[in-house]
Amino acid sequence: MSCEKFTENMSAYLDGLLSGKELSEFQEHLSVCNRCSQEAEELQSMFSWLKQAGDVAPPKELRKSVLAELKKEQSSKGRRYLPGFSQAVAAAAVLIMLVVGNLSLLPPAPLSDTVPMRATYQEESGAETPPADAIIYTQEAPDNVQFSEKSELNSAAGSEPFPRRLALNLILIPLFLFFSLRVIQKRKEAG
Amino acid sequence: MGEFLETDEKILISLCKRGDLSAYDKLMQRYEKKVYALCFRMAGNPDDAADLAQEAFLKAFRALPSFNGQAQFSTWLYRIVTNTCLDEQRKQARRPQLFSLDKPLNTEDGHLALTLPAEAPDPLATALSHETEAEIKALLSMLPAAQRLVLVLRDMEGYSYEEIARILNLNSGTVKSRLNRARARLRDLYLKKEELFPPTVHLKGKEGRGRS
Repeated sequence: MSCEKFTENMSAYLDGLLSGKELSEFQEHLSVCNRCSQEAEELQSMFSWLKQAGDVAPPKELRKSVLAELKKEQSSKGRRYLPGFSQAVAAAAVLIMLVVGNLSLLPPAPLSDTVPMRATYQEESGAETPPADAIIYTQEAPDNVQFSEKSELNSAAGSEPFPRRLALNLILIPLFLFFSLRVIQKRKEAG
Repeated sequence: MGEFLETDEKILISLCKRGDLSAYDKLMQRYEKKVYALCFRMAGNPDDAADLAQEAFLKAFRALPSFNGQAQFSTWLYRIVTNTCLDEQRKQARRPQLFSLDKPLNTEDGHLALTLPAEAPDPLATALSHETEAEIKALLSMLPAAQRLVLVLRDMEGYSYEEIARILNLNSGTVKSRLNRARARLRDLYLKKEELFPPTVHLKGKEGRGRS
């Protein structure tokens, strides 16, 4: 005589989704339980009340305004065939900033600076083999890339640009990776 | 939907993916009635419904490139529509101090809903300003959004349990129990509607049309 199980199935019953044993049990219960049969009746009456809701027609401008908005988007982009284009531009810009920033923050490499250092290295080295970056310094004109790779060691000895370079790289490299990933993602989305 | 061939729709979809707006117009034409009806039942008024439908169609177009055809397009579209509606409900719930007079406010006495028929010479609103229509709108608005959605989909738009489960990404057991709760709740309101809406209030509203 527990109605709970039947209440749970009320919707399924009203939607004609019960069959076999479930259905016959439900019908049997309805015939003996006033509460549940009244509930079913009330729900039926509610359904016919809901059916009186008229059809609603979409406003005529609906599609037009959607299309107008999309047209605006398309013309402002003008490159919808190149998904990820703006991300690629951003990635390229960050890359340029990385290169330019690193180059401009290089410790000054002119002779005036390297000459005394070479002197000290030469003094120290004596019989020992000179440290790895000493080799670079002693070479007349080290190329910039090599130089910048090694200059972290050098700048730890007090030259100012290093923390700034570190900060620059810490910010820009993740940014670059982020935009690059977005480009890949966009291209994938576009299939 | 039977009148449309599925291959036809596939062609339209692939054209849309390439940015063809006239193809999208045809696609929208196919679904706008259902999309709008759903938005209307969720929003309760034509202005918000139009906004919701427009937003959903815009989102759908932008998301089309990621539509892979695994689901039916209609299911995929209705999911965007229902999400758009639910998002809007959530937004409105977050700023309850803002309400508009042409939307029924979720109060127990429902006074704000009662002022509805008196306002706006909006042709749609007046066409719909039958007493029953206003009552349905007002009572539906008193259901929690998730329940209202299931009930509207089933009892007003006629989707099957399976379709609803697919649209809302729920299992059909959840759909069944949510629908059951929604119906029980609406039935309670329905039985009390005479108290909630004394008929005179609506009559006043209807006559009010002539004034302005």
